[in-house]
Formats: sequence, structure tokens, C-alpha cells
Amino acid sequence: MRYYLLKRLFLAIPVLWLLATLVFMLSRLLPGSYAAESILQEGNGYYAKGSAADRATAYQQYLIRTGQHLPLFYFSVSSGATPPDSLLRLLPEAAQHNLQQLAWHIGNWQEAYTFWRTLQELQLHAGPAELQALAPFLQTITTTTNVQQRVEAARAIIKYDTASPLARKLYRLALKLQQQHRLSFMIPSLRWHGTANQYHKWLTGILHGNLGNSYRDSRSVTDIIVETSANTFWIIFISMLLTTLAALELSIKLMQPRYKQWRKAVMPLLFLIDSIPLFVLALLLLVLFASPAFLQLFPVYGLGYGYGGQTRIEQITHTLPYLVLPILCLSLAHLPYLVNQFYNALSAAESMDYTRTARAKGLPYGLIIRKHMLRNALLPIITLLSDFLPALIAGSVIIETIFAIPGMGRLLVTSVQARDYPLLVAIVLVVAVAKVVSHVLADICYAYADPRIRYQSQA
Amino acid sequence: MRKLQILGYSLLLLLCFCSKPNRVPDEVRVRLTSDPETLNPVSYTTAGSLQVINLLFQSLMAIDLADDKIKPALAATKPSIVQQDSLTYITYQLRPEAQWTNGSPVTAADVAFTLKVLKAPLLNNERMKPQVAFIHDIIIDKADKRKFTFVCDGFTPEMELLTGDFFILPAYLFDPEGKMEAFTVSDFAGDNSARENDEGLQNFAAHYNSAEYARSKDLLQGSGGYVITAWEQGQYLTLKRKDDWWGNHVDDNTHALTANPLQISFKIIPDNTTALLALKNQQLDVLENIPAAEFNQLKADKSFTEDYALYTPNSYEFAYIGLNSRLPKLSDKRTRQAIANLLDINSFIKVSQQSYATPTVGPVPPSIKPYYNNKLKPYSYNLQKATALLQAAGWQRKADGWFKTINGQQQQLTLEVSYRAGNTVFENAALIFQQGAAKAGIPVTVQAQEGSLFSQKAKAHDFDMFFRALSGNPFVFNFKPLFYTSYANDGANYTGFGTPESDSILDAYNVAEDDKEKARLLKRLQEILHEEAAFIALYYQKDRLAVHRRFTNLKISGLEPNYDVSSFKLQE
Repeated sequence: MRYYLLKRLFLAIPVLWLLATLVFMLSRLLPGSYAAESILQEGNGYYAKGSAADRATAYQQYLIRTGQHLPLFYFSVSSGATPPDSLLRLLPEAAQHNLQQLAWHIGNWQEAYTFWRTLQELQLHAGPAELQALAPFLQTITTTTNVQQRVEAARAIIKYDTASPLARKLYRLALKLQQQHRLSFMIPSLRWHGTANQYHKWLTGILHGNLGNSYRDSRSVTDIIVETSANTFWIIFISMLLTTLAALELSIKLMQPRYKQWRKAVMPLLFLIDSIPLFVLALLLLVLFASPAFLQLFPVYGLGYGYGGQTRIEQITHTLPYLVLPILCLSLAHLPYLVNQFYNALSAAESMDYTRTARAKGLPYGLIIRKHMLRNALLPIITLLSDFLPALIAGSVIIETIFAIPGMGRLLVTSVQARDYPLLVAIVLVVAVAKVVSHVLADICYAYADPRIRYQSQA
Repeated sequence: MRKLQILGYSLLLLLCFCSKPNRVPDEVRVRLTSDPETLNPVSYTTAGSLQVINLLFQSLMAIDLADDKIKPALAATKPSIVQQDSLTYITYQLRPEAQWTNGSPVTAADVAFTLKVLKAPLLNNERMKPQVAFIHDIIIDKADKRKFTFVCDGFTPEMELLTGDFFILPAYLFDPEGKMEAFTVSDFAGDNSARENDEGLQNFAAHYNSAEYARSKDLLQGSGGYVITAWEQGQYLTLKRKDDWWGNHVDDNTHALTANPLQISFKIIPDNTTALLALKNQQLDVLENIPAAEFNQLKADKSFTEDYALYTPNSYEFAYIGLNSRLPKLSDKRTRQAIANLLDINSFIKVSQQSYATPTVGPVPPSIKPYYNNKLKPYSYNLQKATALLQAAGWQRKADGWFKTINGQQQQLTLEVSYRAGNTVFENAALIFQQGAAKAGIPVTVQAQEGSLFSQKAKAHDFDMFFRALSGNPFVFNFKPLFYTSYANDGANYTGFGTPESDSILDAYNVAEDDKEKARLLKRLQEILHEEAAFIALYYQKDRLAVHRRFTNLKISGLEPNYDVSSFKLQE
């Protein structure tokens, strides 16, 4: 058994690595970045706080300072028409987007870049009246996928200002691009970046136990996660325990013939609870039990003030009232599903031969359920519980936001919103590790619940 | 018996839940929507952190929310400005009383140190750096260590505002070893890539960029009236008034230096409904940005209004519609005017703002009477006019919509309206517009876009029509970044608005000195904007906030954060 578990843990490592790598890559594909949002943003529109050029320079400095100017991975495969990163990085995001599109349509980035530069220069040198007249054509040239339209628009620009050498150059280029072999963007090109890439840095950091620093407050990601995960852990752990115990007791009770009347009342009630979305349930609990309008039993939000110098027990009794509603909410939300599953598992066991035998022996029904049926129904229940974690974490995102509890769920949301990649990837990694651990725990529980599995794995 | 026991225990449990935390009587409890993350006065990012930093640190000039005027804070008076050739010299004098937390005086050397931190490479200062890029050097008066002059490149009207608008850092705390003394401010002007290899600067950067300078309560101590006493990440942040703060002894009335409440607690509550409940439970003293529908409920609630006063100051934030005038289908201004005539601004205000807004004709707030052009009328829904304008623009009405031949191709007039996802106000407005446009035969699709994507698309001019909000102020109206033609290519002029006349007005406004001339120019600009209908201002919002009645001297204002918590006094 021990060997088997070790093997499972060992096998989990490549899965974790793959998962983290995927999240690392995918998170970088989100539009916008933390720096772009905070540095390149114009701010309020009544006056300029610094010119666009100064902001662009500051942005470049930020990227270099934090190592985000490096390529993402060891190599990149892209269309042969894609301009190299070293060029794109120097441009504002919107321009990057336009140039890339142009390059794909044209099929060759060098020519696309010359064309794009000419277009930029033309706009830079045009007066306001000219710009106003030419804007629709300029827009067409930048965005159109139709070669003919681009040439037409370039021709229209020349018509407006026949003397402009830039307009002539643009038209010449447009004509030339018309003859281009436009399928060349289909040919992939492989670029090798070596170890000077963001992924390599991040991976070596992880191997040294360093998950990086948060973009937002430069704190170590490990510190932040350790600080916030405790709250989430307790909420999830207690509510999981409560839900499981309550679901077990309830389904056992509902199995017994003397609670038949109860079943008619409890089942529809559970269905009703199940149909309420989690955030509505949370707000409902708040309005019912934390509002002066109805019953003001619990505090509304947060975890209360720490006073310092408290003993552990004082701390727990102090924060407990704050945790009652969140835990209750999370438990209630998942109770119906679990009861239903447990009840079904028990029902399936009820029609088995051993149950009939036990009944024939004259055992009381409660004892039959606990001694004979439950043990056999446990296997699907364990599977269910080990899969329960993602749902609980998804739930904790909502719970922590509504009840204003600082935890991993809320951290995940804010780090996604702020594009705080190091934190985002680390949280996903932690959740993945928790998931792996819960699977291993499930394996142990299987073995405990069913000796046959124990013997098989030893064999 | 056992049941009784259980009942007894549960009652005990309930009783202990009923306890409320004790608190200091003149503590003010304010809600923040998110953790401030960093309280570094240079690299902060959120409005919440700015509100807190304003209590810890001070800038040379500050806004007095009592009358929305800029007044001297660390500076003793307004600066004197001299223009010479292509340079502008802005001279400030610091207040003689001004002190850091350790009692040492605030001097021009601290200002010079601050500028170096703002401008140096390698430091976490990229957000603020562009704002002071025009300050070339600082000259410290030899005789008076509290007097200094900023040497600035060129001149723009907002320079005065910008030179007074950054927090001054204490050199003794931020650079105890004096590593930055090896540099001058002019070392960091222009291209300073050579300095990046300097060991002293690298050491300082490693030290300064650490999380300590974002969060430590021992380091984040400025000349302001408060110090941090506790900060539980994601939960609360508590500030305590300094004993015998220097600002409370400055006598004249020309400043906004206050530190009245003994303690200020910022509670971090992300969810609006939770915050409202906390307010009703009297666990908060101030709540701003209350949703309109809830605000009306609170207004009707007698027991609530006994304890809390509600305010609706006119804010400086306005909603506008951008039409992409660079698109061939929208390049004719009559088409844009037709669309503007399909906007039902009054319905927008009624439905999405519950009437807590004032319609406006342009970006100048109606509350700034001398500059607001009241001869213009905001656009209202007028189907006939819209149809006539579309026909005049060359669109032909067919069974399934409006068609026109553009660049040799038959094109239908359709619009995709986008807004930042999660903004229900704009969602409602977009749906109202969709209905109105459908009556005129223009198919409209409404699309919510994730924040970054939305701003990226606007910058790339990749949109038909969008709803956005902009926040301004009552002091500077330099609309150049928004409306100047050359800012359409790479700047904030997303709609591509601009005529030769509007450009010359924007240039003329920046050099105009006389108020009458400024008013004339701005009024004409509003006319052009109205006529061009690419940037269609809709309404100025009213902010909605509640403050506990035990406080007075609130300084309610339309400027963020709508009140000055440092000036709150207990009701006698």
C-alpha cells in the first residue's frame, strides 16, 4: 500500500508540472497586463499626466526591470509573417495588434512593417483638416482584409493630396503588396530563444522554492498564500466536515421506514435549496441573520479585530461568530447534492443480498444501515468527496467576496482581475496540489473501507 | 434533561455571538472596496490607497474639498511661475512648521530626494515617472533650505498642478544611508540608461523595491496627520492621529490641513450588499457609491435617516458615448448626428441612475457655469430628425435597414455597442438605445467586454460605438489629449474626433490667460463637439453617500472620495 501511494505521489509530479506550465502560458494570453493597465492608462481626461511617449518609455523600463521583456518560452512557433517579439515589444499594445494583423494579411512582416511605418508617418505629418478627410481611408487600410480595398483607399489618399511623397509611397507599397504571395503566412517559423526566457526563470525559481513576487505589492507569493490560505482552509475543511456528517446522518435517517413522512418534506426542501444560486443564498443568510431588519445574530463581514496578545482559544472564540454564516452557507449549498448521492448509494445497497440476509437475521433496521449497508455504500461516497474540492473552492470565491473574508478565493479573483500572474499561477498550483492530496487520501480511504482493494494493491 | 442542556448551550453560544466589538467614540469607520495592496506614495495604484496615503503623506498643494479649490499644503503659498525661453521656473516655499514624524523639518532636500526617487531608473516608479518627466532639475535656495525652484521644459497650464501633485517623501526614512545623495535630479533627466549600472543606485533599488516600502508601518510615515497602527491584509487598516500634529497649529484659513478624528478605520468589504448591511448595522460611518435603487430605499427608511445623513453632491464624473468617426460608415457627421438623435438621455438617467444625474451637452460640467455652454440642448430622442439626417447622409431605407454604397460596396448601417463588462448602468443604457435604434431600422448588437479588452479595442479604434465614463475636476480643462487630432493615432482620442478649428481652439486655450477668452473658447469647443457628434457627453452623475450624523464638518464634495475624513468632527 505504501509503495502504491508513493507511486501515486510520484506520478502526480509531472501532472502538476504540466498543469502549472499550461496555466503559466494561458495566463499570459489574457489581453492586457498589470503594467499596461497601470502605467499606460491615460488617467483622467481633463489634462494629461505625462505624454504617451513618456508613458511608453516608463512601460519599457518596467518590463525590463521585472524581466517581462524576455520571450515567454524556450522557443516559439508562429506564422512566418509574425513580426519578431523584439520589434513588437517596442510598440504600444494597440499598434502591436494592428501591425500583427497587417503582417498576417500581407504574409511578410518586413514589408508589413515598412507599410505600417509609412502609414504612421503619413498620419504624423497630416494636418487636422487632412486627417479628418483621410481618417476613413486610413482606418480601412489598417483594418481591411481585402487587398483591393486597401489599394482603393491608398488611391483615395493620393487623390486628396497628389503632391505628398508619403501618400505616393503608400500607394506604391499597396500596389506591390497586391502582387504578394499571400499564403506565405501559413508557413510556420520556429524561433529559438535559449534559456533567457520567462518560463525558464519561473521554473528555476520554483525548483528553488521561490514562487516569485506579486506584481501588485512586491511581496513574496509564498507569504501571501500562507497568510490567506489558513482562512480558506478552515472554512472549506469545517464546511466539508459538516456537510458530510449532516448528509450521512440525513440520508441514513431518510432510509429508515419510520421517517418516511420526513422524506416527503425534506427532499423537496433540499431541491429548493439546491436551486438557489450560492450568492443569493449568502445574501439571504446575511439579510435574515445579520440585519437589524430581521434577526441580528451574527456579524456582517470580516473576521473582526485582532487585539494582539490573545491566546489561541480567545482568538478562535473571537473569530468563530464571523465564520458561522460563511460556513453555514457553503455547507447548505452542497448539502442537497450530497444527501441525494448518499441516499442513492444506500438505496442501491438496500437491494443487495447481504441486506436481505441481515434483515432475515432480525437485526434492527438502523443497525443494518450502519453496519452493513453504509460500508458498502462508502466507495462511491469517497469518490464523490475527493472530487468535492473544486466545487468548494469555487464556492469560497463567492463566500469570501460577500462576507469580506480575506482568503484564497478572493485572492484568486483579484489576481486575475489585476493580471497578477505570479500569484495567479501559484494559487492554481496550490489548488492542484490540494486536489492531488485529496485523491491520495481517497485511495487510503478506499483501502480502509474495502479490504479487497487493500489486498489487490499489495499483490 | 439532555435536550434542556443542548438548549442551554446553544443559547449561551447565541449570546456570545451578539457581542459587538468595542470602539473609540470618535473613530471613523470607512469602507474600502479592495485592499490598498500598497501604500507606497510613489507606486500606489487604487483610489482606495490614494485616500489612505493622503492621510499619511502630503504634497506641496492639495485640494480642499470644502470648496474644491487647490490650496497650499506643504507649500506655504501658491508657487511663483516664471517663463524664460523654453524653460519654466516654478518656485515654492515650504511651510516653516512642517515636520516629519520624528520632529525633523521638511526641507527642500526632501523634495529633491522625492524627485530623484520619481525619476530614477530601476525603481518601482513607472506609474508616476511620466507625470514629472517635464521637471528637468531642482534648484535649492542657498540661503533658505525651505525654498526651491523646479526647472521645467516648455510650458503647459497643468504644470502648476502637476508640480504640486506628488507626495513628498522623508529622505531620513526612505534613504537612511543617503545613497541617493550621490546623484542630482538632472542626472535622471532624459536618457538615463547609463545610470542603471551604478552600484549605489542598484543597492538603493533593491532596498526600495522591497515589500517593506509598500506595507511597513514604520517606514510609511510622512508629514501627514496620521500613522498606520494596524493593517490586516484584506480585512482592515487602522490609522491613528499623531499626538500634537504640526498641521493643527497652522492658523491661517488658506489651507486644508486637518487631522481631527483620533482614529480612522478602513474596512475592506468587496461586496456592495454586504457594505450596505454593515451600514444599516451601524458598523460603518461612511459609505459612498451607494447604488441608486438602494439609495432611494435608504432615503425612505425613517429609522435609518435618524442616524445617517444622505448626500448627493454633483460629481465630476460623466458618461459619454464614443462613435468611431474613422469608420467609413460613420465618417459622415450627419450619420453620427442621426445616431445621437436616437439617444434617449432622459431615459438613461431615469432608468440607470434613478434620476441622480444631470444631462450635459459636453465634457464641461454644468455646475461650472462660466464655462458651460447653456445655449446648446442635449440630444433627445427624435425619430423624424434621425431619419431625415440618415437620408441626407446618403443612406437608403430598404425593407431590412439602411444601406449605402461605400468604396464601391453596398454596406448596411449596423452598430455594435460595447461597454465594460459588469457595468450595469451602461448595460441598461445600451439596451434602451438598442430599442430606440430598432424603431429607426438600425440593428444594434450590445456587447459587454472584459475591461482590458475593452480599453485595448478603444485604443486600436476597433469599435463602432461605446459607453464610457470619464472623471475630471473643476480646475483644469485641457482637453487636448481627448480631442486633438494627432492624439487619435496614439492617444486618448479614441473616437477620431477633430477639425482644424477644434485643434486651433485647443492650442489657443492652453495659452489663453484671460478667463473670458477661455470661456469663449470652451463654449465654441462644446458647439463643435455637439455638431460633430463623435464624442457625445450624456450626463454628469451625482454621487450618493451616507455619513453618520454624529459627525459634522464633512466637506462633502463632488471630487473623489466625496468627503474629507480627516476633517470630521464629533457633533457637539
